[in-house]
Amino acid sequence: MSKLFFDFEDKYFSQAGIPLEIRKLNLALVARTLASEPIDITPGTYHVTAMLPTGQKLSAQVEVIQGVDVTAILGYEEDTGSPDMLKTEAFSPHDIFHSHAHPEPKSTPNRMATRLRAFRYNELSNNYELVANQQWFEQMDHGPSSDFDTVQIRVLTDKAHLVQFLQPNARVTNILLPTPQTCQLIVTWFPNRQCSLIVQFQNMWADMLLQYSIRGLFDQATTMITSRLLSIESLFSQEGSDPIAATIVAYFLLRSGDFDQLRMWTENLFTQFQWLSDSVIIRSEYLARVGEHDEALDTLLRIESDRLPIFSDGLLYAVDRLRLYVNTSDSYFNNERIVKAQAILNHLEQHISFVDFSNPLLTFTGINPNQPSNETAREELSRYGGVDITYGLQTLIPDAGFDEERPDSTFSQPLPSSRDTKAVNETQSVQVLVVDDEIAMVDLLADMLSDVGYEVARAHDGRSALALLRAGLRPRIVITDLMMPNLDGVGLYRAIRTEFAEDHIVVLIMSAGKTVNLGDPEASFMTKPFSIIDLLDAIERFA
Amino acid sequence: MSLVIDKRADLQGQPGFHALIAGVSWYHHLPGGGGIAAPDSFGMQQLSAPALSAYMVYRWLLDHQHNLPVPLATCRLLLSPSPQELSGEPSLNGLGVPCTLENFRKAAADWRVDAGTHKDSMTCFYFGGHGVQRTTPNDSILLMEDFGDGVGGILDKAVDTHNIFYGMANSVKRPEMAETQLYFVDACRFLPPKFQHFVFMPTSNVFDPEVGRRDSRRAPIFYAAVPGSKAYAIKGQQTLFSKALLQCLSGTAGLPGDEDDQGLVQWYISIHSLIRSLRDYLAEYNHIYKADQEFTVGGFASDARICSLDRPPEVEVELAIDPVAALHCTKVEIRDYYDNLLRELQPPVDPHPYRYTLPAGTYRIRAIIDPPNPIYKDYSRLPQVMPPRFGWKARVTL
Repeated sequence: MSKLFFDFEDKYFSQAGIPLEIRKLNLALVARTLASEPIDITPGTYHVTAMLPTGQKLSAQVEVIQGVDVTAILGYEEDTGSPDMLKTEAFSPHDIFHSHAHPEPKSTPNRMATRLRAFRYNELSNNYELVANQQWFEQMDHGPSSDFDTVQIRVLTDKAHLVQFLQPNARVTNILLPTPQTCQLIVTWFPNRQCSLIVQFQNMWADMLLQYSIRGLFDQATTMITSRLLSIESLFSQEGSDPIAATIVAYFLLRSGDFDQLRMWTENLFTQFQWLSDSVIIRSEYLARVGEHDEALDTLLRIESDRLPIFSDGLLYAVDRLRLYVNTSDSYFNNERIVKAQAILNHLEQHISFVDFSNPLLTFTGINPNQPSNETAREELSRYGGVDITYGLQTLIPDAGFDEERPDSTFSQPLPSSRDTKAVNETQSVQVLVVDDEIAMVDLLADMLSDVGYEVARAHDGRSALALLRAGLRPRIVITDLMMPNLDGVGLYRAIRTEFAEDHIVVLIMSAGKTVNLGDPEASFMTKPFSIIDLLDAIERFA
Repeated sequence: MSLVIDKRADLQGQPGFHALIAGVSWYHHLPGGGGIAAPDSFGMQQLSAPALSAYMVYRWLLDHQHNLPVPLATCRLLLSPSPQELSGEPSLNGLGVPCTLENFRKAAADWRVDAGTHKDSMTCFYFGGHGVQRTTPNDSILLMEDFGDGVGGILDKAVDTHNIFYGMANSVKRPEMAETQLYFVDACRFLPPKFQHFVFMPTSNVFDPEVGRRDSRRAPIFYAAVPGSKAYAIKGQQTLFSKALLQCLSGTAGLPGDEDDQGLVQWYISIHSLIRSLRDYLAEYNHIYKADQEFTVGGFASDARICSLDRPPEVEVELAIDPVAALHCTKVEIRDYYDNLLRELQPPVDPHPYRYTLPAGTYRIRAIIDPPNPIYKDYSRLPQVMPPRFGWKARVTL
């Protein structure tokens, strides 16, 4: 027997504990291990292959002689570079764990304005509250590679639990952050001026495991969890427990259905980190799968007073399981528990419609994280405050939207500061506000009106339209659909007449059905379908 | 009759493979379907590929039954083909039964009975057709041929994937339920905007799921689309997902297994190798057909073998000489790992890059400078040629 060690031509990988496959020349599998774990092996010729989470391969061929230890040094496989060949994703050491690397050099002079805001979870009020100063991030720097257009921000998760991502006229995105560790936000700009945001965990091994898992590289993920750095002993130790890494391992075990390991992991998670909704959900899902449904439901009922799970998988597991239980006959679970389960389900389902399930971390839309919606950010991002990261550290500006003497102010709707009010007054260029829950309809009307020269703002229900008005927006005309969730067209009209009576805002309500005379010279119904000519005529008539 | 393969008598108490395959292209009540128009079509039109795709999945099963881990015992086929598909593939005529709600529920009930006869049995479910979500994006609602008939609620002629999945779990009544179950849902998962106006939209139950016992199924659900997105098809031909799926099952998702006493390696396709390979191929077809489809896996994705391969899969290989200036003096040899010469390419290698196929395996690939040239050197490698593709660049510069 000989000892086979592993190393990489690119030393960056040497520290990463990447999973490897060792195969004979006839391709029979000899072993799976981590690069940090040498193996005993009989003499012969072997292939050693590492597949990165991005799908790219590193490999080495090694001749093992009896009694002589040897190191396989893995390098990139030589690709022909032909565009016709099936490609894995672009790659650089900086991006080994993520797919967002982009081959374009950083030369995007005109980026989409981008801001971040941070929120804390208040245990007493069960609400996310805006963190009014910038102490939630530790540093702001460009990424390590000059080839990619990135900005990195380290978020201190003892100060912030949720980060909000704002771009003009785009849906507002909220990302729940893993606590209690710090994590890295990586913002990458693409040539089309758009950018993406990745959350990278402090625990590099857990981060890799998650990436392997979500990309369907289960063999590699299974090898990862053999690492002692991802062992129960390591992640639940007194000195350095890591609930987030433990949660990632447990979610993977749920996906891969390893019941023996799951029992121990879920017990430990649930016992030690009950404050983490994910641990409650994982435990409950495990119990359900082993047929302990009573206990599973009891466990799930603990979610109510807790926060949302940090991971999207958690939300799906909880909703699927709760739906099943609330539809189970009363004789199995008593009615009181079913009623409670239904209430939790309703609470979770309120979010689920706004969740982006392609992200592993729970990511949902809405300007107010406590009330998810499809709301888009306004053109003037400065009204929201937060941190401007459009051009990275060089243009870091003070938090515009909040009074520094009013730390951790409770979130309501974004309130304009005196500076913002001035900005609103100076730029009363928005002439029309289009409101409809059908995004395609909003876009269609807004685009048509923009084409003929109107400044147009958009909202996706009455409530978000009202929020815009309360924040200082003063359109000349509001064109609103009648039937909308949250606040319908008539409700919006009444609110406008009550709160903004002096502004004489014209309201046109679009309706496919019966209309009534509102008895208001500055308000009218428009019967669907109507042409753009009809609409322009109506605007001309009132404006 | 939906039961198009029935070999239950041959099983004699042994485990078997039970398939339920459905494809709906023609929707009686959607525009162009010829029936009484649906009260609201929600923007949905007739389709031209799902029934043919379902038929192709059925054909694959038939042709590869000897590769399945357990004998193929039953296959139930429900097809509602479009006229275009019928004229292009005459075998669809009269094959199986139309995929109406009633037929589907009957076939599913019988399928579950068969699946519940042995824990070591395997099941496979494939549905191609229109799919929607309600206001909860984790939904996957499958629309039957008679969707929109105006009877009952809007989704009365539709079924919920979760209902099928949980209904197939083992239970007190069905303790011997097959533990390996494959689900392929080749349908959109988007929310028609008008659905937001409804409080609750019940589907028709296929099963009444019970609060089960220990659920240790290996039961991945391969969704052709992530929540809130669409699945696409090549008009009149095949869905992108089924194209990628069958490409993978043809061998490109293959993995080499353990060697036997003679040192021979049996190749196989597993749930995990299929997940990985599907991702690659769907990405490629997205690129070719300008689509943006992204599949996802739900259910319980523990690994299990799906099928074996008769031989190592064919791998598309591309060889290139670097630099191109060395082409005139570079000969290429390809040998197996016993050093038997398989192919020799005389200079200049033409066409360049050179493309062909090789069975997966280990090969010795040499680039020999002939005649010797002071600025170039010979180059030799012993690479693993693994599916789906292999590219190799011989760098001969000193």
